[in-house]
Amino acid sequence: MNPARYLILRPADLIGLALAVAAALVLPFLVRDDYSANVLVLILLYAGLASSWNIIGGLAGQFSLGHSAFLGIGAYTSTLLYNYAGISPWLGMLAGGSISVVLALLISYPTFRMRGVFFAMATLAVGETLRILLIYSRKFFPLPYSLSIDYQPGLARMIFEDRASYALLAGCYLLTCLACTFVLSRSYTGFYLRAIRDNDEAADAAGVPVRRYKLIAFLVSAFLTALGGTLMAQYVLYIEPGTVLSIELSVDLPLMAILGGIGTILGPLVGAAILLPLRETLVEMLGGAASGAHLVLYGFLLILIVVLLPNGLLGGLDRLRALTRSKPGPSADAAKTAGVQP
Amino acid sequence: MQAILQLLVSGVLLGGVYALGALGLNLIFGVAKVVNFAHGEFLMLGMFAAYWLMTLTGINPYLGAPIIGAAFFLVGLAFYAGLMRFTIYKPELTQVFATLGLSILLQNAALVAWSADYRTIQIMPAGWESIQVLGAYVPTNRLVAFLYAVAILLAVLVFLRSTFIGRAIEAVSQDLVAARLMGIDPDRVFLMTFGLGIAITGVAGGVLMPSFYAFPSVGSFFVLVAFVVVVLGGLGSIAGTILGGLLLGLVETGIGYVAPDLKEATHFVLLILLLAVRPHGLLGVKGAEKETLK
Amino acid sequence: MSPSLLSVAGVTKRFGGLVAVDDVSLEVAPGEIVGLIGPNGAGKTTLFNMMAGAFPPDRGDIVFDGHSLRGRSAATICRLGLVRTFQIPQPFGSMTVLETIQTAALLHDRSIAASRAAALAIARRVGLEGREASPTPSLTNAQKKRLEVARALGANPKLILLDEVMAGLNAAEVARMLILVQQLRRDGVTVVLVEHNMEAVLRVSDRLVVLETGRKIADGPPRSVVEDPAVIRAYLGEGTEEDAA
Repeated sequence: MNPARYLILRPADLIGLALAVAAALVLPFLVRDDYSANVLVLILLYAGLASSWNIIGGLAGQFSLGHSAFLGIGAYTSTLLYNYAGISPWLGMLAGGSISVVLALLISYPTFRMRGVFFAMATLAVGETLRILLIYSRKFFPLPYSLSIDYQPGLARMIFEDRASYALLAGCYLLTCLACTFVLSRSYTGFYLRAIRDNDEAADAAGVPVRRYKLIAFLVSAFLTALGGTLMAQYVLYIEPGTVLSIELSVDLPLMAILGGIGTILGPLVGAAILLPLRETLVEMLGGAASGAHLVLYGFLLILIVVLLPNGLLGGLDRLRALTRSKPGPSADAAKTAGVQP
Repeated sequence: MQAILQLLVSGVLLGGVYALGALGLNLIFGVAKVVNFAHGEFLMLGMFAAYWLMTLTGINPYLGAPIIGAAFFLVGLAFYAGLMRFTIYKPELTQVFATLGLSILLQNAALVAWSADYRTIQIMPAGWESIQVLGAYVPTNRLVAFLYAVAILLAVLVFLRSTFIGRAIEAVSQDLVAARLMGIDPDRVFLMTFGLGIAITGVAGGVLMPSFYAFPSVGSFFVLVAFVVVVLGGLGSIAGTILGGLLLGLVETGIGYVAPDLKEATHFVLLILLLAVRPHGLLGVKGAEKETLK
Repeated sequence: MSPSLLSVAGVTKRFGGLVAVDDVSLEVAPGEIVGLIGPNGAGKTTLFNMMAGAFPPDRGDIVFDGHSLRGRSAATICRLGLVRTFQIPQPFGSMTVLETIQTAALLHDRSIAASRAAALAIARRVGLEGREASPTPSLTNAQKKRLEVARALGANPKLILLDEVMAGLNAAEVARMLILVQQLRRDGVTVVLVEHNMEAVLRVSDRLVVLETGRKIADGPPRSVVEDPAVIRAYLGEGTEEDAA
C-alpha cells in the first residue's frame, strides 16, 4: 500500500518535519543549563498535550474544556499503580490511556448531542465532577490528598536523573501526538472532520458518519492526553487534584492550540513554545506565582489573541498565503473566511 | 416533618438566591446568544463592591443596591463596548475564550488588589440573624436576598413587557433578522442588554454578600451554579430562571442534608444530564441551544 | 411501469396537532424526473425531509432500492445511493469547491488521488470548472446551488433529491440549472425536485406530484396535472369557482 495514495503530502511538510524532529529529538541534546532544560521539557510536554486537545478541539471543532479529566486519569492511574502495586509507569501509562478512552466513550453519549459552547460547558462539568469525586472518594479509600513518587531513577520506573532524558521522552511523546494529528488531518478523515466542524448536518447528508468520526477524534485525543498525564506525574513526581485535574489545565491546552493555530498540525507546538516561556517570564517579572499579577496579563493576552488572531499564528500565515495566491475579486474576501486549514 | 419543612424553606431561599445570581447570565444569553464565562467574576465584583461600600461609607448593600446597580450598569456597557462588541458575530470559540480570558483577568486582578482573604459583612443586628417561622429557622440575610430576587425578577419582567427598549430586547432575542428589518439597531440592544445583565449581576452579588464569603475565586463557584440554573430552567427564559433556581436550591439542600461533600458534584452531574436530555431546559425554546448569531 | 426505485407508502407525519403529511404514497421509477409541488405549507418540505432521512414518518414507510429508510441516518441513506441538497446552500465554510466535492467522493474510494479526480470531473459536469480552488464562501448564490448538486453527485447517487435548486436564481441561471438536471438523467441519475418555480418544474419534469395541506391531490404528467381542477383550486384558492360561476 502506497501511503501517498491515502495521504496528502506537501513539499512544505519536510520543513515541518525537520522543525518538529529538531525540537523533539535534537534540542534535548543541546540544552545544557538546568533552567532551559526545564522549560524545554514543559514546552514539549504541553505541546504534546495541546496537540492531543487539537485533535478533538481543532480538527473536529468540538471545544472540550474538560481535558483535565483525561490528564488527571493518566497521572493518577500510573501513579497509583506504581505506588501501591509496583507496576511500571510504562504499563500504567497504557492503563491510564485505556481508562481515559472508556470515560471518553461514556461521556460521548450525552455530550455529542450538544454543539459549541454547550459541549464546552458539559465537558467542563465532567472535569470538575471528576475532581470533586476524587476528593470525595477519600472518605471511602485511605488515599492521601496528594501523591508523591519516590525519587528512584531508572528507565523501567520512568524516572530520570537529568532533565535531558525527560526532554527526550517528552519529545517522543510530542512526535507521537503530531504523527496522529498528521494522519488524521491529511487522510480522508481530515476531510470528514473538517466537514463535521464546518457543518455537521451537511456532513451527514454527504455521507459522513458524523458520530463515528467525532468519536474517533475524541478517543484518540483522550488516550494521548492521558499519556501526557503520566509523563507529567513522572516529571514532577507529585500530583494532587488541584494540579492535574485543574480547570486551568483544561483552559491552557486549547489556549496554546489557538495561539499557534487551531486545527493546524504544528500550531499547538508553536503555541506552547511561545506561551510557556512567556508565562515564566511574566512570573519572574511580576513576582511570585501566587500573587496572580502574571495571570492578569495572561488573561489579557488570551483576550487579545482570540479577538485579534482567532486563527492563530499559523492560521494567519495560511491566510496571508491564500491572499497572495488568489486573484483580487470575490475570492479575496473569501480568504478572510478560509480560516483554519490543516 | 419539621426537618422537611426546614429543608423546604432553606431550599426555596437558596433557590431564590441562585435564580438571582443566574438572571443576568440568562438575559445576555437569551438576547445576544453569548455564554459569558466571566459571569461569576462580575458577581464576585458585586460582592466586593458591597463590601467596600459598607466598609468605607457604612451604607449597607440592602440600601446601597441601587448604587451598585447603577455602577454595574456602566460596567456592563463598558464590557460590551470594550470587548464583546468585537466578538459578537464571531465564532463561538472566540466568545468562549474571550470571556474565559476576562474571567482569569478579573479574578487575578481581584487577587492582586484585595488578596485571597475571605471577607464578610455583618448587617443584621445581633439577635436578628434568624427568625422562626412555623418552627423553621429562617436566616434573615437569605430572606432579604430572596425578597430582592423576587423584586428584581418581577421588575425585569415588567421592564421587558412594557418599555420600548425592553420590547426591542425581546424582539432581538426572538429574531435578530426580523428585529433589524423593523428598524431596531441590534448593537444598541446588545449594549443595553449587557448593561442590564451586568447591573443585575452586580446587585445580586451585593445582596448575597452578607450571606456568602467574598474572595477572588468565588465566581467560579457561582458561574457553574448559574450554568446549571439556566440550563435547568430554560435558555433565554426569565420565568425558567426562577424555576431552575428553585429546583436547584431544593435539590442542593436535599443532597446537602444527605451528603454535604457531594453538593457541588450534583450540580455538574445535573448539568451534564440536563444538557443531554433536554438541552433547551424546562421552559426554554427548543433549539435555543443551537442558536448563534452567525 | 418498471419497478420503482423510491417508494413512499402511506406516510403520515404530525407536528403536535398539525398533520404536515397525511397518508401520502408515491412511486419514483429509475431514470424519472419527478417534480413535487404544492402551495406553501402543503407538506413538501416535510415529505422531502423524510425521504432524505432527516426524521422518520409517524406512520407508513419509505423504501429506497429495496431498503426501508426507517431508522437509518442521513449518512447511511446517502451510502445506499439517495442523496439530498439543501434549499439554503450549506457549504463547508473552510473548504474549497474541490475539497467539498472530494469529501463526498471519499465515500466510495478513500484514496486521495482517486477522489480528487472524481471531484474534478464533477466540478466540470456541474459547470464549476475554473472555481475548483475557490473557498466556498466566495461563490455566488447560483454557484453555491451548483456546489450543492456537485457535493450530492460526489456520493455517486442513484437518486438525487433537489430542494428548490432554482430558488433565487435569475432566468439565465435557471436555464443552466435546467440543463444540468436534464443532464443528470442522461447520466443515469433519477431526480426528485421540490420546486416553487412552476415554469421550470413544468419544463423539466416527467411527472408532477401535487400536495395540498398534507395530502396528495394529483400525480401525473405535467400537462394533465396543471389542468386538473383540484390543482388549480389548490393554487388559486376556493374563490375562483365562485368567480367563474
